[in-house]
Amino acid sequence: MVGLFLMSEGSGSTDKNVVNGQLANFSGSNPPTWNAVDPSTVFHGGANFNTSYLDAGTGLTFDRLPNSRMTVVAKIFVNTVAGAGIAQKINSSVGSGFIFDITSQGQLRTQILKTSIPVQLISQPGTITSGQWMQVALTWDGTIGTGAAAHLYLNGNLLSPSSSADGSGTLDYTPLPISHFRLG
Amino acid sequence: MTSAGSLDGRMAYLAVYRDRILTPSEMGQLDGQLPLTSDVVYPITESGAAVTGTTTVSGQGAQFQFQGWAGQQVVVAVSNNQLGAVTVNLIKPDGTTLVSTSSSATNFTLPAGVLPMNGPYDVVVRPTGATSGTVTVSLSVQGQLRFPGSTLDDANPLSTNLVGLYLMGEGSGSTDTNIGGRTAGQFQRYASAFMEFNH
Repeated sequence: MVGLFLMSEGSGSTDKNVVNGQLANFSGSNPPTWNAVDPSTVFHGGANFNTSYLDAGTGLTFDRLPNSRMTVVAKIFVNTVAGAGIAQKINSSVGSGFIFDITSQGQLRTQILKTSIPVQLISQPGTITSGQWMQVALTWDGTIGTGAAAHLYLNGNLLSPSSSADGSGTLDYTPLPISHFRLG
Repeated sequence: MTSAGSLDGRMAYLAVYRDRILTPSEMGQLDGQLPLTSDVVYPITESGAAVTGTTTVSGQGAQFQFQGWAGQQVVVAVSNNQLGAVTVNLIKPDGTTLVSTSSSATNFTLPAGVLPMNGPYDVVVRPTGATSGTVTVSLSVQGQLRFPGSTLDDANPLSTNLVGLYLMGEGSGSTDTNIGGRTAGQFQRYASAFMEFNH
């Protein structure tokens, strides 16, 4: 495990990665806030990916994830189903990194960037519903590197994809240390 | 390329693993070990000793956590309930409910539940109204942890170089099986004239 953000501090404007003690900053034009009832962080939506998110910074902690076997697991509560980030670390200008997000149709999606065209896996529409806590997960085997190496889960159940693409090019990680790891 | 937007909602945790792909079961375990709660949490044991929990915020729940094993029968007893109307759930390691009862009595008992898996269990006492106060919980646990007919799991690292393991769980007869010491694939059976099975 390289990252575990518990989002339970309840005050301040950072959340700690309890694996290494590094802080992720509340960021964006409408930065996250704390939820006083459930111990969680409130993200405030927005059509732009950088409206409301946690910035875990650059560096090597979350480097080389697409080139290895990786798992990302999050517990989320969606107020309104819309396009939304869950976790990402990308350098799209050179084609490296990954995105784990929700589409406007309520599909879970991951894109693993390659130097030409990304690997992409998308679940069925309506996977994500509003008004309830859900555990969402992405697993990826970068040693295989095709669409079949990606899997999406909802509450521990494997999701059937609506589409899967192998992409083209190579998995590259060398530019990733300059990219920010973002949550939300 | 970016995500489709910013999340409109909440996030309770996010975990990232490198060089590891979690199984669905492990995802469930992770979720079970990161409870989404602001409840007060207390450890409790199967010894039967009562544990009293105190909530200080209206509507707050009290959780009592214990380690359970598949096959055990557990009865949860609630006493000294000062929270008024409450719902009491016995929660399995996968986060689903095994047994549930609602009551406003001072003392009551949940129906017996047989634990379906090994792992951490929670007894969650939650008031249905905006109340706070104390409540006491105790467990009555019956059943064998080590079942008759148990065999050695060769994949378990603890079985390496093991030559003797007497589980003494047969419950009948006048012998106890060494499931660790094998000869030509057969379990060796030793008589014990000094053993009594007490259940």
